Amino acid sequence: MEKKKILIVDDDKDLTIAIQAILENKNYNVVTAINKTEGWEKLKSEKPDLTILDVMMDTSHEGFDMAREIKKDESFKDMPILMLTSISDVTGVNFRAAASDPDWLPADEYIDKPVEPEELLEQVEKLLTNQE
Amino acid sequence: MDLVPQETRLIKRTFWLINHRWIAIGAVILFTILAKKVIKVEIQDVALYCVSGLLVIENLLALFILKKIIKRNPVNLNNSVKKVIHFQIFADLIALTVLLHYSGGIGNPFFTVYIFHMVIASILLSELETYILTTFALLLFGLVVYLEYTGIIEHYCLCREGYAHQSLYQEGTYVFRTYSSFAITSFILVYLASSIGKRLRNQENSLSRAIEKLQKQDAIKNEYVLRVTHDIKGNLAAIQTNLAVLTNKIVGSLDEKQEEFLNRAYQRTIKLTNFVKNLLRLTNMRLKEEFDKEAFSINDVVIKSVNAVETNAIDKSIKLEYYIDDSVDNIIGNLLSIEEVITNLILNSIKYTPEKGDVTIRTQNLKNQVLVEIEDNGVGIPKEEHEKVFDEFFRGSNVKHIKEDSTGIGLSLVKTIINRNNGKIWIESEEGKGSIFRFTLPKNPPDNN
Repeated sequence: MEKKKILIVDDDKDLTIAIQAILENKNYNVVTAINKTEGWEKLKSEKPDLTILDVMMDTSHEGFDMAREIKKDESFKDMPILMLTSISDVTGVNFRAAASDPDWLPADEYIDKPVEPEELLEQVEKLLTNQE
Repeated sequence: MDLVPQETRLIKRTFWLINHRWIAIGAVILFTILAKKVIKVEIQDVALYCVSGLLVIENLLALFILKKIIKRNPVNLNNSVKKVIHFQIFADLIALTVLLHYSGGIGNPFFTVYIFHMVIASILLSELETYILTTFALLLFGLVVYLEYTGIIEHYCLCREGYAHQSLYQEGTYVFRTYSSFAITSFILVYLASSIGKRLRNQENSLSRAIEKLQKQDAIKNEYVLRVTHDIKGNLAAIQTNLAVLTNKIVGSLDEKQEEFLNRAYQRTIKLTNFVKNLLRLTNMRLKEEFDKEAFSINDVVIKSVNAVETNAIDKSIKLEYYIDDSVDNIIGNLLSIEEVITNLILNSIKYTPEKGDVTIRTQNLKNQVLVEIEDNGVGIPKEEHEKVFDEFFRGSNVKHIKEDSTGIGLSLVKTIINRNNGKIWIESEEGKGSIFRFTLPKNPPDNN
């Protein structure tokens, strides 16, 4: 069976490398990007099966914007997005509740930081199975 | 103390003035009827009713103008409201003088009523305005007294029917003595009242300035805490996930010693992350003005929370039970925060209850509220510390030595949430016997939170 490919877009390299290790240990093929621009390049060149997207608080709303753009793009709209959040502490936005409104936040699942290996793998597996 | 802007205070007092004028008009009419019908005094009742009618028009006019000003809300609101007050007081003084003329002039002991306006002016207006007004009142009254004395205008006696007319108004010494002592008393009174009024106004203003400054500084502090803790949390999240990679042996096996030390570091990071998360939530809750509300069943929340923490109870062989009152209605509040409160309180009870203990949750329907209680037979809290339980960073003196992961923020967050949901929380506890945390939430909270 072919390895599933996962793209991680996150500006925190220390976190990305840990997530990459967790996923690679389970035989996923992982590619990374540090911002939206690089994220789009990798999306087009690598055509991943799933994208893990950080909200990226420090660069305002890049994560949100990218998620919306992906869902509007014909070639990527069916690819699941797993969003990493921690911004809720500051904005008070409840992402899980907001997830029911696809226009507002078009991600498929949410994980609050810090990322726990078990939870991450469970969500990734679930999203990839749903896709099939 | 509430922060009431000066404009609001002035407007409130103007309404107060208008409301009290209705009482005064009522009193004039009542006295006229009483004097005419019961005491049988020869009184110019028609003239007095006419003046009362004019006072009614004045009051309605003042009310209308004031409401219009508030609606328009001009930049110089204070000045516009003051103009309404000037108009009212001057109109009152003229009306009062006419009333006095028709009811005995200086022979009517009620001429002292002028004093009311002098006191009101001292409270509402500036010192200079008050002196001008007092002088105006005394001039008006003096004019009537003089004109009656010289016979230029008619004097209406306040005498009982069939009794001889008194002619005090024509006795120069009496008129002069009465008038001048009234004038002197008036000025002394205005002097006293305005100096007290000025001092009080100054105090009130500096107090509200101080409160305003404090509130601003508190908000700045909270924003600062929010920023700092958010940055700390970002770093912690990266540390924790990296440690998780190692402790989960994702990048290779560890020997026993390595595993032990890494696990210690990992556990402490989890603890610190939770602390920072709670601190963020607490600060966020304090800063946030808007709070989403919805109707939900508190019983469902209790059952959900119990299920969520069940494993924690099983780990300590604690009997975790709940008794819900089926008659409890839905309440309106912030569902997620209240769920957090209940989970937090149950976990707290489990934490401070020894193995094989009991933790029981009950709900009860009250008239306008619902009551939730969480009871345990754990270590309890010494009585003298009950009030401090909800303070930030507080830990009971009897549990400080217990090696438990407590940050002292959980209960402070609980109280903040309950307050934001317009509820109340309190504790009943005896050291060594256990604790009961009780909180109430309103079924229909007021809109402003």
